[in-house]
Amino acid sequence: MVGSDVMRGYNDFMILFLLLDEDSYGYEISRQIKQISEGKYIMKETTLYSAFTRLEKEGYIEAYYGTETNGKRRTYYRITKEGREFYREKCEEWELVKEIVGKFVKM
Amino acid sequence: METILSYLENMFLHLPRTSEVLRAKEELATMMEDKYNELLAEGKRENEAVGIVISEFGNLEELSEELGLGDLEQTKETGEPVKRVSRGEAEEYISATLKSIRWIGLGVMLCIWSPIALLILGTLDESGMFMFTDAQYVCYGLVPLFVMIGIAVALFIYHGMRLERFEYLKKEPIEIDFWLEKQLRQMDEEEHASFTLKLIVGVMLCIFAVLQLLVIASIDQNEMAGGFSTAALLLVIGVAVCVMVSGSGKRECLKVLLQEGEFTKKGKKSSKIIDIVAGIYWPIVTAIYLAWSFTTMDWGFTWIVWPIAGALFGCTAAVVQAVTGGGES
Repeated sequence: MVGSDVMRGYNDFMILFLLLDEDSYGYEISRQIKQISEGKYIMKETTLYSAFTRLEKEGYIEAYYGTETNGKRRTYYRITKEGREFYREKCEEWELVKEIVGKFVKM
Repeated sequence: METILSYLENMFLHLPRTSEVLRAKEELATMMEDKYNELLAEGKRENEAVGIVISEFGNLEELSEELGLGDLEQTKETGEPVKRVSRGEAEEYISATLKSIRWIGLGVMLCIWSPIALLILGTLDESGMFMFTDAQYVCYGLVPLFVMIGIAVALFIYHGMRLERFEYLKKEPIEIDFWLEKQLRQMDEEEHASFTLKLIVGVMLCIFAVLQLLVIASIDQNEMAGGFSTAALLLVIGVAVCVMVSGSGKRECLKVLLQEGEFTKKGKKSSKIIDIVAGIYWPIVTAIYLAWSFTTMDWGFTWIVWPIAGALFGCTAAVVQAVTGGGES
């Protein structure tokens, strides 16, 4: 399990990644994060929601209402062009972080 | 699922009902419900699922900015320099005060108890059963009086100094963030019952103390009974005041932090004036007490200066507050 402090800078990044191929909604995203990280990282609901509003404000994602088969209203999120660009920048940034921090790792 | 919804309801209880807040609540509820249903589908028991959902909910404070609760309105209103009080400072202040207030209560009790020995000596002397020399008066009457007052003053000074670094909370305008305020208000609600109970106990003791004096005075005109009864009055009132002073500690802190009662911004101005008045008033009272006592050597009676001075000071403070418009929110 990784603490939320360490991951703070990368929450937005992970959410954008999950939206690259298809639109998604709150729980689905948190489930996928848990699954992809093999249960090593669980994003808290409040963290997730905070990231959604932040990303939305920055114009990286858009929210819209979708209707489930059972008739329930649900908020879906869609990545924007700016969001994709931001994601690419973050990927490059991550490579750099990995390179720099990696130089200080001794196991 | 109801447990989860009521948990969420509780978390949002004191938040303003803005559209941002309502949207956040709705979205969080949906996410929690989805997770809960999935956990049930995985074969988890209901209790277990509720536990997991709640433990993974996170912390609403994380959403302060998103919910528009980051800043306090007060700063915008006045533009005066306002000191922001962090949660750590507030908690430190409360725990330090709670520690000190017991000792301060004890000090007040000792002050009230201090003339008891003299009073009893005087009563016994007047009854004619015993005759005391001046040396005995000093030894068994005055020494306990000054020792008790000495200990009390030492307690006041020591604990006053320990709490001095928090004085600004009482005197300067402060602000706390929304979450801290919410937490403090909750503490205030929880504290209310125990504070009221202590107050009732204190008041009942005071009434009892006066009542026994009246009853004894009416059935027994004997001087000796009156003297002992007065001693008992001081004894009981000492305990009562100690209970009320130490019982009020937490509430007082919360009032300071929430800037209520006499600690509103206006109230802080009038308390500065009262401070100045007190700085002149109490030394004068002390001088009067000592002068009177030493000239008449009537120590068994001159202590009456203190309750009268206390009551007069209370009146003065109330007048100052009324004139400066403090004490109202």
